[in-house]
Amino acid sequence: MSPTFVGLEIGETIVHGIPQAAVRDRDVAALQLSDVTTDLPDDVLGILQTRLRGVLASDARQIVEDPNTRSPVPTLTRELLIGATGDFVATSQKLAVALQASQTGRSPAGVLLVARATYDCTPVVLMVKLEREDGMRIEFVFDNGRKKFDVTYLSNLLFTGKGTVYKIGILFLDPGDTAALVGWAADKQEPGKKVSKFFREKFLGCHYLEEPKELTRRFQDQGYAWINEKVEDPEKKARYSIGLLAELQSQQKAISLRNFAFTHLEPSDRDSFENYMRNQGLPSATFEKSTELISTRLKKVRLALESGVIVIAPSNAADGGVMSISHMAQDLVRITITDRLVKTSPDGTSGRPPKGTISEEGHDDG
Amino acid sequence: MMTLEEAQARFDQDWERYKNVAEDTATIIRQAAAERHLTCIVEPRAKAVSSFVKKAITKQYLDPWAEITDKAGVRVIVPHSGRLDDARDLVLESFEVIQKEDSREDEELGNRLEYPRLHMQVYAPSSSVEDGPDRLDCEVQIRSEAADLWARMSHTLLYKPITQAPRPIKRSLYRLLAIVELFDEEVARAVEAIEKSPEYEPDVLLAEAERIYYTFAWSNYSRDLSRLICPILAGVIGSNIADFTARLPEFSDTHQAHLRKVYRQYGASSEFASHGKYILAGQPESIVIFELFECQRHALRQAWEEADLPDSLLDDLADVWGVDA
Repeated sequence: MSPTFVGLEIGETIVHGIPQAAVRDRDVAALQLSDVTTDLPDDVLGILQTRLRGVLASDARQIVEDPNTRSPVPTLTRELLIGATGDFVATSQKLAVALQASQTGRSPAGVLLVARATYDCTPVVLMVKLEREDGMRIEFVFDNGRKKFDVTYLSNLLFTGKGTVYKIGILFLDPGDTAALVGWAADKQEPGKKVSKFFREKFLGCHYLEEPKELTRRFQDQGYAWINEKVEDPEKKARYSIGLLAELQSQQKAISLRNFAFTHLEPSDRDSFENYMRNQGLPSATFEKSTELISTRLKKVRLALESGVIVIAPSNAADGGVMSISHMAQDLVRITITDRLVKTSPDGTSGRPPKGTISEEGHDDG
Repeated sequence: MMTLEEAQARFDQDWERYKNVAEDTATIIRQAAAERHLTCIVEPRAKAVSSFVKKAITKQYLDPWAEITDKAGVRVIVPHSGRLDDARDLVLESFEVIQKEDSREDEELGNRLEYPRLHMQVYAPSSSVEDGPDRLDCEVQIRSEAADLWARMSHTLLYKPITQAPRPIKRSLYRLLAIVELFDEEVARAVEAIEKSPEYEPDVLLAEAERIYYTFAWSNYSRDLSRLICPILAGVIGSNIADFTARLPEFSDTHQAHLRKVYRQYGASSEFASHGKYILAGQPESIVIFELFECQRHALRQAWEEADLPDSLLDDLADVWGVDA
């Protein structure tokens, strides 16, 4: 995935009103459908583009068309992408109908902005669900020759700030397989940086290109690969390994390369980590965390030393003060374990079950 | 050993090859200089056959073919004497050197007015000798711009004059050498002092950014803001300012379509500028920031926060460039 969305350029645009409605009340007549496109002045277009680029940069997840979808959106999108034949207004109206049909009863009222756009010269279709907001305007005025500020309440505002609620879908024909649609989806509303299921699956007719559980596993694998390849200081190696484990075990519902680097790594290592991970195909944007595939790996941390000594410790051992790691001269590290000895066994394989069975300690999802 | 007649005939026959040797040698020097950020003029030439013959006669060479070593020659002219060693090292590392002559440390030069020689005889690059069995060589002369000025004058009026100048005139011309030497050393000293100043690297960065910026934008910018921000950016880049400024044009070429649109839509001439929005998009240092967004986002953000600059300046530019910075 490109690390920048500066290539997103918005062209022909239209906006339709989407009412809030219970599932049983989905009346197409309630939609506020535009009959003509919306002219966007340069400043509006400029703001719109930067707001969308910013959200996509921080939250966009790659999506791919679900071949079994019942959503009409992929077909409508193709009409807009391929179609000189496609009637932009009529097709966008059908997209609004599709959004209304896919929304849950809890979905608030808003507008659907549909645009033909380009991403680095590739034609794309942009669909943004926005909620109307309110706000205030302040103006410095002269009133009977005296200066003052006037404050006015405004409703029906869009993009009032960073916290604005909206969902974005971008779809285009896969350059490697023009029969398939691919793209990005972002959802500023959902906690944990998910893209709400109704928007992603029911409306866009897509699923994630890479599921959160796969991404989370790759985050762990590549994170350890970076530590082992790029970090020379043994004390830092151990500290970062524990940080990686802590990140995956935390109650946070999302993973962000940037936040991980900021929280667990020293400043001089942050860019190296993020660049490495991006080069390995991990998304720059925040993604939903799912430890389903690595749950057994998260219970213990393993430190392998040059002498052949292997320390396997519960992942919270460092936090609880049982184990501490400090950097000695040259490349040496001192691992101190302060605890009560409860059992010894002849060698490191003690307690390992016969081949073919799985123990809590030995199992690795590899 | 060849007679002059034989040598003339052979040089006449091989002249094109020597011309190619000189040009190929110059190409290698230019490439190596660009990689090292060494500013210099590189002039290749094959000696004219008539000059070859004249030199052989004037110098009374017994074996003119062997004794005339500048049949192919390249002159490397650096801005001042402080860069001579850089050019010498470049040649030493880029070629197989047959002979080196560096008279700068000669004791005899202490009491004589003479410009020191820095010449190297190198084997020709392999690409130049594919069409011949023997290994051709090339003379590389390295000098400063001031020395070059002196050398060209002395070549015409003193070394190979049409008419011999009277002794007082000769003396007055030689006296100029002292001024040339003084000029050269003062320039080298000034450059060294300037390069050590804390403003130098930020100013180099701004100069390169400005040069690129004006290929996309046409509005003036706030130099005060640039002077505030460029030292911070230079701090993020660290000791690699020269490498960074060298790769900035490539970054600009790669993203020229984006840059053109960004500066048009959000730059100093846009509607936003009058509202104080996207201020950095109207500044030349924005191109440096765009480059840093690619691989040094954390370092940039940290330096920005440490400098206590408003986050909104950087956030706006990150949104324009579509990155999470």
